[in-house]
Amino acid sequence: MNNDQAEKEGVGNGFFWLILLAVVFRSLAAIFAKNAALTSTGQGLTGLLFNIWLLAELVVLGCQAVTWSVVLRHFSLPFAYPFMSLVFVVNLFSARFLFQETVTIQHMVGVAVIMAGIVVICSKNGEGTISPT
Amino acid sequence: MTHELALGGAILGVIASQLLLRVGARNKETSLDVILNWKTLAGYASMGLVVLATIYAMQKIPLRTAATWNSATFVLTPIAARYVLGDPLHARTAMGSVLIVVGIVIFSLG
Repeated sequence: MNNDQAEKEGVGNGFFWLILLAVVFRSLAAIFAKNAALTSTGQGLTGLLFNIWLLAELVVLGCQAVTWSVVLRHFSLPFAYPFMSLVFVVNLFSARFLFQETVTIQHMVGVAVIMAGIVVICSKNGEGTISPT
Repeated sequence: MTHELALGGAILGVIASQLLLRVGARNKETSLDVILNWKTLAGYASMGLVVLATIYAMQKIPLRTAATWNSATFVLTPIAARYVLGDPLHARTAMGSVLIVVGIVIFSLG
């Protein structure tokens, strides 16, 4: 990214941290969802609906939505959205270190290729049709 | 098997919610018009169901797998938008989608 593009996209205006904050919220939502899953197993729908981790997930998803709205006021979607693919990396590390799941080289390569795909999709100067989820 | 179906349903739910939110935002004059119509509300309801389906799926499916398969929405949403809404499907979207599918296959082999 050259200086003109960086300035145009708001990096020099101090808003870039908002993108990273959105990544943190989205990653936390996945971690909270996994905790909700682990603590609600065998408790039926009621156990799921009244799970504190579900509430925590909804709160961070709300925070992510608000943060993302602000991000899109300062950055174009094709610039900002590829950074959200960092969520896949954080999720992989979370799976390994928080939930003791096995993570192999193939998993890491697969996530890297997926991230490359998202960057390719978003690298078309505003023509994008995708939306954050 | 029901957990895998729930994950598949969650992926389809994300696509449905994106299409509904897009249709709900079309040709509306004010933000209130966008929010207070059944398509937008159905989109948000779909998102809520996605959250519940994902949690149910993750009772058996590892976080690494559920999160990575979620990337299929990047492939399927533009395709659905092309055939349901008539949105253009760009060459770069197709190229990126191929990469994502390859990434999911590599990941699934791991």
